[in-house]
Amino acid sequence: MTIVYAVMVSILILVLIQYLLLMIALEDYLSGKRSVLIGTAAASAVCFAVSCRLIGYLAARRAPGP
Amino acid sequence: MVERKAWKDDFPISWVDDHFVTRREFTKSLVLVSCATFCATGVIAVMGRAGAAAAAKCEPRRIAAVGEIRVGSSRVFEFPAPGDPCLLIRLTEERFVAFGQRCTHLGCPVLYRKETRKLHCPCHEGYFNAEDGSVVAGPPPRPLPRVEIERRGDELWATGFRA
Repeated sequence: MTIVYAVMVSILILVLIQYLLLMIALEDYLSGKRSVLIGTAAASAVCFAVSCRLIGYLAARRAPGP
Repeated sequence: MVERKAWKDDFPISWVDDHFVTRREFTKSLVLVSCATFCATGVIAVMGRAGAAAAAKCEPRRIAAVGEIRVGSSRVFEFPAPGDPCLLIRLTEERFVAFGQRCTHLGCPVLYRKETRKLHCPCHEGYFNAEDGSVVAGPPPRPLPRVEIERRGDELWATGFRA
């Protein structure tokens, strides 16, 4: 149970970070500066990859049903 | 004895159980949100790159003859592509400036006010300095994009956007 909660909270935090990155990218795009667009996309990709890894870990740990 | 209703055999899952979401399901949906957020950020990055490439190779365009615009007046032109409105302003006899006409707040067209020498967005009362496009008042979060102008003889040409 604790593992599931830990993974859930970790992914939730990652999603919040991604949301902030999305806002930064949008602001950068609309301002016309376009200096951090690639960086935010790369950071978001890392967050997504970590989320996938965590959910994969959770699926692997799942106990077989009756 | 209470008889079990026939429809309960067809729908054996109760309403409450039907709407129950397990932690694992919720976590999976979070990963989908993560994927969607990454895709959105990626699309913005691609659009930014494409926009930067397009701006870098925009063709210079003749916008007006010097004599066509009186001091204190303005003229709308399209640059770099049709459908991208910009505003050319003659501030003094020799000084011309041009800005994108879309307000940086919500995209309403801005208008030049000669008496205050400001650009005014009538939608939400935003004001920009006509000298440099900076925000003077109102909700706009950013300055107006400034168009580079080149004088070629008696003609004015738009050559690009100033970073």
